[in-house]
Amino acid sequence: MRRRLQARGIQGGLYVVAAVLINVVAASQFFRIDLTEDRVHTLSAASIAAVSALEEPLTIRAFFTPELRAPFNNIEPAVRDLLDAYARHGGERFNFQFYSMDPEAADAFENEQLARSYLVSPMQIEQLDSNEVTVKSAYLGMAMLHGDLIETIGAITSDSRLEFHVTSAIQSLTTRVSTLLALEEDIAADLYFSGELAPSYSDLAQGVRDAVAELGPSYFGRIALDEIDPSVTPVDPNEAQRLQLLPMALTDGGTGTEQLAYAAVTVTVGERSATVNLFQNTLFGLLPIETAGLQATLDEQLKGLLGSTDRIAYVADFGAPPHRGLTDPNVQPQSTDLRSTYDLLRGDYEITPTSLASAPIPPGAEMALLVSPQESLSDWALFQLDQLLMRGGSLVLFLDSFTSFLADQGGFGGGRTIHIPRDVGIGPLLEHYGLHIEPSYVMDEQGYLQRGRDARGGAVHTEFPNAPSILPAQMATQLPFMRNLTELVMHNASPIVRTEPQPGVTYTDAIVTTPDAWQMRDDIQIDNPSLIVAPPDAERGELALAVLAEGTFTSFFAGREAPQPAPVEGEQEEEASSRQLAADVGTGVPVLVESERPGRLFVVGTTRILEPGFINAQQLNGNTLFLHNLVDYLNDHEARAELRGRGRLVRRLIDAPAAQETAFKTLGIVGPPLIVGLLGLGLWLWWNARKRHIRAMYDRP
Amino acid sequence: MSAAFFHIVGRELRATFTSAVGYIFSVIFLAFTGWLVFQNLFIASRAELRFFFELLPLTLAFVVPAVTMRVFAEELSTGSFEVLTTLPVTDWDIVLGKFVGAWGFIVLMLTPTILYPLIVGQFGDLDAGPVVGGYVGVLFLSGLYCAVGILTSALTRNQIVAVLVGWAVCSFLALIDDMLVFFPGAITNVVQYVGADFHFKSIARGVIDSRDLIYFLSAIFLALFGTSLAIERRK
Repeated sequence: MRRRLQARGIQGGLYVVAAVLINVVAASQFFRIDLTEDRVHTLSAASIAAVSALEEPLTIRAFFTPELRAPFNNIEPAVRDLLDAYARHGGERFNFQFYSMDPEAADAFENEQLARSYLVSPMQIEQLDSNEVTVKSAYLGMAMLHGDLIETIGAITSDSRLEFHVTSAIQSLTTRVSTLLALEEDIAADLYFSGELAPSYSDLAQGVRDAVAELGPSYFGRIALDEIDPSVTPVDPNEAQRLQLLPMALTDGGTGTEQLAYAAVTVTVGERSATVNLFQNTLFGLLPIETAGLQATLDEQLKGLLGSTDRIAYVADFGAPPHRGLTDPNVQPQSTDLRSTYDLLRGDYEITPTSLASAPIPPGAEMALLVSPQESLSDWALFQLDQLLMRGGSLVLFLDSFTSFLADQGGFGGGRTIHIPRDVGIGPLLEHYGLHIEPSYVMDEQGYLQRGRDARGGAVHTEFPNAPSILPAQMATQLPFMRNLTELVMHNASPIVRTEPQPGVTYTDAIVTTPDAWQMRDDIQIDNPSLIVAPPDAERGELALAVLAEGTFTSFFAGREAPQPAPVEGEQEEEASSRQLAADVGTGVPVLVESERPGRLFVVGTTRILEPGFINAQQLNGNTLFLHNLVDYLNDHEARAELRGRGRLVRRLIDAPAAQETAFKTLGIVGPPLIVGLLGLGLWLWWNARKRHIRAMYDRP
Repeated sequence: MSAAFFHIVGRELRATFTSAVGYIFSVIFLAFTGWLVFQNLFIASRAELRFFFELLPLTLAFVVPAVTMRVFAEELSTGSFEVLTTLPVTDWDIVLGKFVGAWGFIVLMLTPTILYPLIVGQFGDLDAGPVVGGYVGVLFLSGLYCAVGILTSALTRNQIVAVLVGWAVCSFLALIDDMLVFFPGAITNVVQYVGADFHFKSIARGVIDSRDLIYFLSAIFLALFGTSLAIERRK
């Protein structure tokens, strides 16, 4: 018996070993079936397209420190699974390699050197060690090599949205390589460095030289550095403004005269340029930047210049805010700060500032963006916007109905914000397209809730009726760019009203309020949200805050004479007219068009939601996702928008009468146990009856 | 499968269905999960059953051993096990028959929860993938817990000991994935792989992954093999 048990014990041991081996083998040879409706756990079409269209080999080198504790232990397997999936579609041109960054390993030094050469640095992570939280240095990054270019994802701290980051990086890399190979001229790196600065800040200029030299090989040696001394070769002020060179006023100690100095490096690819100023405006005045990060900064700028392919025409005149954001928001308080919007979009799009007073929409721009103009738009500008729509382009309007400013403490209004209606002459154009922006602000009972704490540490909630909180029930989730959104916040928005619809155009209220919204039209006081009082129910209702009109529009200028562009300085009217004709001939567009092919018009009655408080290029919040998805959709990049929001889709329950909800809730709680209880009771009664029946059989005389 | 196997399955199901303990635990389990799932469903306003499936590894870890505790322990304490061993059945017929009988009861006990997706589906566009995945995961998870419960029941003739050990092992399998921060990095992945919750969560996302299925099948097999060893020792 004992021998038999021993033999069974050995058999059991062998089974355990076999089970472990099977699991080990299964870890590398596996299959998956994704049951989700949107296949959110399967490689998306955009990712498959990105790797299957590779023309040059793409190699990914992944650097991971082994044996990390939770939650970092899951990242490497997730990356490995994902890269496996890419490899199945990428064929021979897609390769990847994992490097174990074990500090004890024999090849630790070589691997570290390799990782650092790709700008993959160790990050500090917190781990629980012997009941203490310790900080450990760990590698959790990867580098992608394509041609001579490198794209780095330096810190992968979570496996969520991993596919989006990797696919975006691959797309960015392949686009840059294609653009770089197609360049006719070298990338120009111009160092503007005034001679007066040289004695004290020569290290800044040297830092630029070193950074450009370091970057050269990564860009096929196609960066040409040129040095300009503005004290010898003065910089045209217009050119300085265009390049956004930061002027620094230097005073000559001897003569007391003041002159402008510059310290900046610009990189130019074709007609596009980006600037890195070597001094920054800080609270303590102008301070030089750290040269250590210059190479990475220039690399980022070059990636932006080479990576963008789609062009967005940004209407830069008529008082519109600067497209790159305000250099000093305190100086231009009435302007919208587009800094974060520009940062968000510049990676995927080339945002071209366009002076619509005197020039046409540049060729190649399929979308025009008009944000908060403060002056009346000319007929020529309206004509250009109208024609873009007629050509099948997209027109996006973020408009403010009011000009708001802070009244002087002692003057009228006594320090509160004054809102004056703003008319920029776009109303008739919009009404022709079937839309009208009301000169009022929208308040909603479902306002943004700010959670804070009072002096005693208690919770304080402040609701902002002028910042309607938009949940999926208030979104047109049937629109592809809206379907992954969970929450948005609007702010100081004016309602959009539909007027006479154009035949052939579909109108969709993309964002609406709850039915408990109202308009504040006269005596607008929204500085203190707690003083905003809701009107009676009769005055409340649902209001549209953003509307999408898609289809075949008829031109606002149909049957009218084409307007003329304003002459630029020093130009005669005839020349302007011929310039317009040349532009028209150049773009192959007839002077007036009607309904050439379907276009898209998106109108929002606020520009506040484009500001840094709402848009964050680094952290994907609802407003950021909305704006990015919208622009992608209008530029026919639906796949990219879908990939960005993948896995974020929250399916909401529909609103139902409270009685119905209660009934179903009760059914859910009581139903299943009741079914089992009744089944048990039935069986118990049957069992007892059977027992009684059997007993009765034996008890029968 | 032999006729003896089906006979044992039928006998086990009859025994469980005519025992009050199974019903009591089922009603408590269903009332508890139903309350947790539905109390905030309309406030959270999410057309999904993620919360329900997240609860299951731990709740089943308490319910399943309570159902399986009597499977062998009762037979051992009453002496009917000796009678069973004199019958022309193999050890595997006994083990598999009792396992499938207990597992079948758990599956039947969970069947009324089909009402949950039906209710949620009335109020929103429920993605069927994670729901189907969740139920596939529950099949395997409850199978593993049943196998563990039967093993603990075979190791002792005391039902209380059997259920306590069963709770301990099943809770370990359910909770270990949430306690990984306490393990050294060198064994974190191994410990995580051993946990049932990790594999269940993976399937409940709506992804049927062969690695998770192999884990469950091999773990169930090892527990059942252990049971066969335990009853052989009892002979």
